[in-house]
Amino acid sequence: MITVSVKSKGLSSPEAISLAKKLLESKKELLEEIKQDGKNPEFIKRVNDLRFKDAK
Amino acid sequence: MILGLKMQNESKKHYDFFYLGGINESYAFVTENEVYYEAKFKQSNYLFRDLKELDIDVYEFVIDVAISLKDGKIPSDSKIPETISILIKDFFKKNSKNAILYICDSSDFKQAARKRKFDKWVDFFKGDEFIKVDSEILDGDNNKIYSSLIIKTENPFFAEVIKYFGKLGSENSK
Repeated sequence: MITVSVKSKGLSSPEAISLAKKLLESKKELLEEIKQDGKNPEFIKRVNDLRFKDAK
Repeated sequence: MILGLKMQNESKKHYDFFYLGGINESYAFVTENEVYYEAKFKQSNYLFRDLKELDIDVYEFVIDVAISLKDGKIPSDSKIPETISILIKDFFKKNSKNAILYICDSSDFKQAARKRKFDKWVDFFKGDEFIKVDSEILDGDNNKIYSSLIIKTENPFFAEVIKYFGKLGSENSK
């Protein structure tokens, strides 16, 4: 893996801050979806069907 | 867990994972402690208008525990970082022109720890097949927001994407 780092010397551009806020908001929604999936019996059944399929 | 599956998992350095699909390209795996993890890749081209002209899809990547232990604990597990790295690679196998973006939640000021965790996962990406662009965004409250973009070095739009994300870090970036 090649890594390039972009470090900020000062306040980031309004465009960058706005994008980061939108991404954080979207991440929050996705994490909530994961939490809800964990409570969904269909999700649990689907995962268990797949994991036990090859182990029988 | 049934015995065969337990033995199979114990002999490997990572867990088997399952592609579930859906709008947000979901994957799942279950640890030997019966903790269920789910990863999602959400297409986020709507956020990147400047990249519209390029034939590339940017996906936000998230992963979290879907089901923890009954006591709510999440035991430390050395197989998880490698499992996540293989899962991300699998996503790239489906379309090598994708780019993934990971952003660290900063609402509780634990973003640096999350960044270290993400770096640990992708540390399993050896060689020069992939490039990661780490960017620090400093907001008006002096709050640092860490984000990382991963793209394959063979991607035909590699240079344009790197340039675009490099610019996002700061107008005064170095």
